[in-house]
Amino acid sequence: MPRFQSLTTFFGFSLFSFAARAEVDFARDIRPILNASCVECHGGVKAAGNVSFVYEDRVIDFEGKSGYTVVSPGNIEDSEIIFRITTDDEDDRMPPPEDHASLSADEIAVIKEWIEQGAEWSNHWAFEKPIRPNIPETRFDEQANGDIDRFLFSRLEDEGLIPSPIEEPGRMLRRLSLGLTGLPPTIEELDAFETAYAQHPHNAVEAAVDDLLKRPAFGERWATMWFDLVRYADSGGLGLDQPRTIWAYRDWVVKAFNDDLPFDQFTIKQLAGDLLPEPTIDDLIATACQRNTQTNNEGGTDDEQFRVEAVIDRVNTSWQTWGSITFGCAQCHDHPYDPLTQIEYYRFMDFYNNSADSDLENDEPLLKVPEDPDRYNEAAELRRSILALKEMLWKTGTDLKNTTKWSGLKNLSVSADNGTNYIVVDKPAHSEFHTVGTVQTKTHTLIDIPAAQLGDASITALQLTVSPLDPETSLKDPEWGFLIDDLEAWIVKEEASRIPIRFSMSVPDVPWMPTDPMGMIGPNGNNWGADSRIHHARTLVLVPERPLLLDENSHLSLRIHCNKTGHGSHPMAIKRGHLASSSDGRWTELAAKESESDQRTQELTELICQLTDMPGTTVPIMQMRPDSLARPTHLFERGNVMEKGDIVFSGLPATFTKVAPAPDRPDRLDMARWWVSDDHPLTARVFVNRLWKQLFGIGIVPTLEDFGSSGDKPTHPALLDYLALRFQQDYDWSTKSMLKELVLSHAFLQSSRISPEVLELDPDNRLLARGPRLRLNAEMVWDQALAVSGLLSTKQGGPPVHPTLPEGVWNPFAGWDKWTTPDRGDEDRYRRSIYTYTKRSIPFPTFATFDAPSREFCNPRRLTSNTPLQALVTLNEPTFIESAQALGEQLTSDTSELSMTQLREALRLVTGRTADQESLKQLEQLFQEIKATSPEQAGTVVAQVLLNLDETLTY
Amino acid sequence: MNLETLLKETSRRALERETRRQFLTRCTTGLGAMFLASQSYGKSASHSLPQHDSANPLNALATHFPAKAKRVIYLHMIGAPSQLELFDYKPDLKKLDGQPCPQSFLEGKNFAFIQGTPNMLGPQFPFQQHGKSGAWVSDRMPHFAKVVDDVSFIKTLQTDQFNHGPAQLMVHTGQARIGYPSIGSWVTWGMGTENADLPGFVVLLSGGRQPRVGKALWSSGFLPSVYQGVQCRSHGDPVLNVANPDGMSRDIRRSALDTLKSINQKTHDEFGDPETLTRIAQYEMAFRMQMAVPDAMDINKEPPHIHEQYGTEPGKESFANNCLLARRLVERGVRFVQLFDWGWDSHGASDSEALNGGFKDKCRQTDRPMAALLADLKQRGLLEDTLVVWSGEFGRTPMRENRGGREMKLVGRDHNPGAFTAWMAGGGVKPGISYGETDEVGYSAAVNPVPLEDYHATLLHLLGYDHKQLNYPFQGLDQRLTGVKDAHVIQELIT
Repeated sequence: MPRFQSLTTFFGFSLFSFAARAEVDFARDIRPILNASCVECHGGVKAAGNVSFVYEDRVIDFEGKSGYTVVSPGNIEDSEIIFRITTDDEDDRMPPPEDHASLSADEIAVIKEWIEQGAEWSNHWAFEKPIRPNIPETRFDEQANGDIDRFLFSRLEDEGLIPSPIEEPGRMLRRLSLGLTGLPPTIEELDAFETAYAQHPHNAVEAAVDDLLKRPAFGERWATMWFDLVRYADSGGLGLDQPRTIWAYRDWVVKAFNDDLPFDQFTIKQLAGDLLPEPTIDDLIATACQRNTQTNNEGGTDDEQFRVEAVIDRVNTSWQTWGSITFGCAQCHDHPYDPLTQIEYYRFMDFYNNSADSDLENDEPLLKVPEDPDRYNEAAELRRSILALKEMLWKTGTDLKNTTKWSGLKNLSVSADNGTNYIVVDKPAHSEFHTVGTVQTKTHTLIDIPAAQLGDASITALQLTVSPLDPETSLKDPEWGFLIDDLEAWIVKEEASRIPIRFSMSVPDVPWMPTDPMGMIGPNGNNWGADSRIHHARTLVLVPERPLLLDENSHLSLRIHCNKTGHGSHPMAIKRGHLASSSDGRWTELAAKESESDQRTQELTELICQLTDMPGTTVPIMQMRPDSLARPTHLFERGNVMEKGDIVFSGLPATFTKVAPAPDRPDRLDMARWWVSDDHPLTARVFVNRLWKQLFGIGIVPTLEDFGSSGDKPTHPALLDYLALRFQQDYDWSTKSMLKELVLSHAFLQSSRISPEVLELDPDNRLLARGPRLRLNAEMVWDQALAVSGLLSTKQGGPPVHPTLPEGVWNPFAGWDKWTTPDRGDEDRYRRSIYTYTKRSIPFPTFATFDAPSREFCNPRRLTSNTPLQALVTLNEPTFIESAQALGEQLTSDTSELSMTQLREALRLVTGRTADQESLKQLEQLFQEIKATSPEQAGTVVAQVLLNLDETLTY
Repeated sequence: MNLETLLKETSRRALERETRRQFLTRCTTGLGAMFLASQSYGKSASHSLPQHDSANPLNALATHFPAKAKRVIYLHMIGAPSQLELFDYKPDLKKLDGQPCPQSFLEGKNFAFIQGTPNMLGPQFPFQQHGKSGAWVSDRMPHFAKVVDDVSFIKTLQTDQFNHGPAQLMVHTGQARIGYPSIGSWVTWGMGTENADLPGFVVLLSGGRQPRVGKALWSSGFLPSVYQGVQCRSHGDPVLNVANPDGMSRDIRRSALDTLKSINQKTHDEFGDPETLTRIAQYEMAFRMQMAVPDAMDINKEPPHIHEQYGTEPGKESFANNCLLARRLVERGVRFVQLFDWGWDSHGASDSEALNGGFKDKCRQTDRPMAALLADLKQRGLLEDTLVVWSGEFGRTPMRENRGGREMKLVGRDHNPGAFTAWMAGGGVKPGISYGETDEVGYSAAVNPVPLEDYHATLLHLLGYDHKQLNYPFQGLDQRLTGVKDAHVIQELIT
């Protein structure tokens, strides 16, 4: 079988050259054929004849609809697949000959061989946990600076290539500096490094790396990578794209990188920091990661639709960010290529479906973050006390509510003051009122209760129950809710006499929600309701200051104000409800002045004031809804939100839990811990691959967005496993330690000169026979111009800034969102790019031109372009001009003459290396030429050339 | 090295590399085979992605089959104009005016603002048939009515989004979410452009507010950023950063670029990175753009009769100016010109957005320039291979809006994704046709509904593309403008 032989050689030595084998390997040899030719009809989306080549148990010893066994291990004759791919009968032939190419003879041969060898099925490589590989031997061992190089060199040997010589020191420091901190080295740093390097190269490099890793700029550079993934932005996105105050999270990420917060902790806090026992302010800020989803405050939008979209985005982003898995494909049907089912998708969605946020304009729930980090513990303590007090007050009231004898009220008359119509239906236990027809905005519900209904004893408490208009369907498809923003009551005795009643206490049905009336409902901002959707009936107990005693011919009158409209159109009115009363004296005691509860309530008010008054900012966070208000999670048929299927409960996909076990019915914290559990096959590989891509320009798996079976294969699978285990086990998830090993490799430090032969063989530099030569990313281009011209501010953190913006760009939909650039000389004009206000609908044009994404969704990989618009930015954009002017002034010092010393330094500053005579001469000539006609421009023009050199824009 | 030699040099190198690869492909053993196996990029091997010149990612390329339309002018009326007051004549709706809406219209429907049971609203303006084709046009569009024989209407476009942002994204990217390439990006990625001194995909806004999702409507999504739309403006810098800083003449810039080129050339000699050559070429292109863009964008150069025809006023941000600019741009070889005109969201909540208020102004502002654009293109022989398209993002309800459940002072209609009208002209479109019919009140598509994916497939077909084949592998899927659903080209609309 000579052709088959050549095929295994082909795969055996190239893709997996570390372990050449004669056996057919399913993942390596068979799955690619199935994915290319079979799964379109027999896969996750369609499984014609019940056969799916994505799942082992729908292939091996499996009888399809036809009644034949698809694959019978060891037995070609009994394997239907072989008949189907080889038969001449056009009706039976697979793939169907009318519109598909048949399998090649080689492909058929390898499938036959696989079945003969026993049809061993195996997982896709990325779904098996990494195994510590042997370190290969290489004849270039002398040049190797660690094991990373040994993996790379042994591959180079196989391809007949050799590593490049080491980079010259100045360029080396520039690469390290930009690679690790996003900023170029200063002249002093270059001098010091070159001197140290001359004495002891290895020590000098290591010392420089250690120093760079310690700088605050480090976190700013690596946070940028993270923000593309978790779609960090300072605005809401859709609709109004209103500003969103969430920069405390940005600062948290920068600090996490600077503190080298281990990646497992980094993960757990961002996915479930709110569920940690006694969460700190930092733990809670971290959860804002999940609150970077878009919201839509456009008039007439459906909050529930966008809440669900945000939840779906959290699912997709989590799987992209931590797993590089295109789980989003399973939203409408089982994943087409990978064994991930649609049910598993919605099980995962259940982790996120019960957070309290719901696309509200104010981004609730919010966390108060003190300006002074030293007060974080104090704030966390206050927050805990507030929640504990609320819980306690609620529990005391609820215990009483549950042991109170309530009498349902009947014979109510209910109306509204605005054309909304109510009717009252008498039920055995109480009268129930509900709206009919069109509900109007600003509905005030007026309820009259005849004295006879209230019995002889005085009334100590009223209980209001508000239900969805259709309680049957609202749990599944929640209706717009209601929000009570004021409540008035009177005892009415004849029309002339209305005696107002004051309530001293209210007890809501849940201890904590963004809308909770601990303290009384009133126009002071205390309100109560289901905002913006109602799933369950809600209850509120109201305790009057004094027990109410009504004359026989008087009645109790309530006026419940519901003024809010959901997004300018949906009246948040009470659509169905009933009332009950009690004469239990314990309510009066509970609410009495100086009672235990009253004191606690005052204490609560005081604590809330203390927290509110603390100087600082806020950040949207994750917080669970109370269990009693839980939203059921449904599968969406064909991904359509309007078509809700079965209810599902939290869980993780079986393909992965077989490898990395997870508890039954996990909660979000279990899920977070699962990603960083010892046996997880993806997390460490995915993250080291991201670091690799940042430093080398292309991932070991080039498709950073897809580690599934339709993504690219790793160029160096063993190296990827080595790095993953090194990161996870040897370095305990320390990003800095991992980066240190990466940048100390010869591969990173070698010369990036390209010979035509190597360019032809490896244009993308996947094998690293030369050092990386990358265009600066958008942020580096900006920061470098400010840095080399001496303008860059080193101030860290705080609210986003508004640097120069070309005229005519800022035309936001929300006209009140102003872009005001600080004056020249103000340091906020020259901050690092990471602090620039990120508005999703108006991406900062300079960054966008240099390929920065606009952060609506997880962006796993930036493409690098090279366009004329980029040239216009670095030549003409106001900040680049200002930088050129500043640098130009340095070139001419105090005189109008060019200082050759300064020019030499500036050229070294932008390229990292000693200036060459030829370039200096040309720049000097340019200076003289311009000076002859426009002396005031000469310095700036030379500086512009320096800032636009290919070497300047590349590292 | 001058630019021409430079470009030749870059393509020679690219070609050499390609030849080398072909050679390697043919060897089944040895080094070549081993390495190539490792270079297989997932499933992308099965695609024929557009292969642009590495130094010029916008060079013109052949399409799948000969294109009837070589360039596109897309007029988007942001906010969704009422089809019932413009092109979709519904005499039966007039009879129902003021009556409560039948419950069957409301069941299972989501509205942005309508509450409970609204009343029906008859057409607010008289209609007449025009031209040989007998197209119905309301009296709001008297100029446009004269060119209807060059135009084809689709009366039954359908979308599944009823909020502006997502619906606009659906029209321009085929997805309701941000992050996907717009039609203009797909087309410039596929075809490149014919004038290297101008952007291939230009966006013009009439002023007023930005569309809600902003730049996402002309984004390149996952395609390289060079294919995103470039916003050109009729006052200020026509393209961001295109003007040199104060005091820096074109001669000074030329000298600077000469020095830059010479040092960069040396860098290339030393490092051998082809990206350096591309960068040199891009700086030269930028320099030429600095001349070509302001020239193309200067409508002062047009004769008085043209200004009269379009109703243009130089220096203003207006739809009329943008129509004239669109003609100037396509004339110069720009591939895709996208116009956005703001103010069509006729809810009746304010005078500027009421059918008996601002709507009339919007009609006045757009009627003459649209008609002028079609006539001007035709007169220059450009219409036959230039596709002009007009649409909103959804339709409007035959019910009168009753925001907050109340009768409103002004007259307006709510959003209706069930049916809306678009028209197309030129570029291989069969003229004088009306495709699809809505029900008797214009609420939903009764005959020949056109989901957006069919509309997109048809546009791409006119441009010479099989919509299934124009795709890009991203996130495990062959992404295309028409998405994952089946899409059909509407043959009836094509000559």
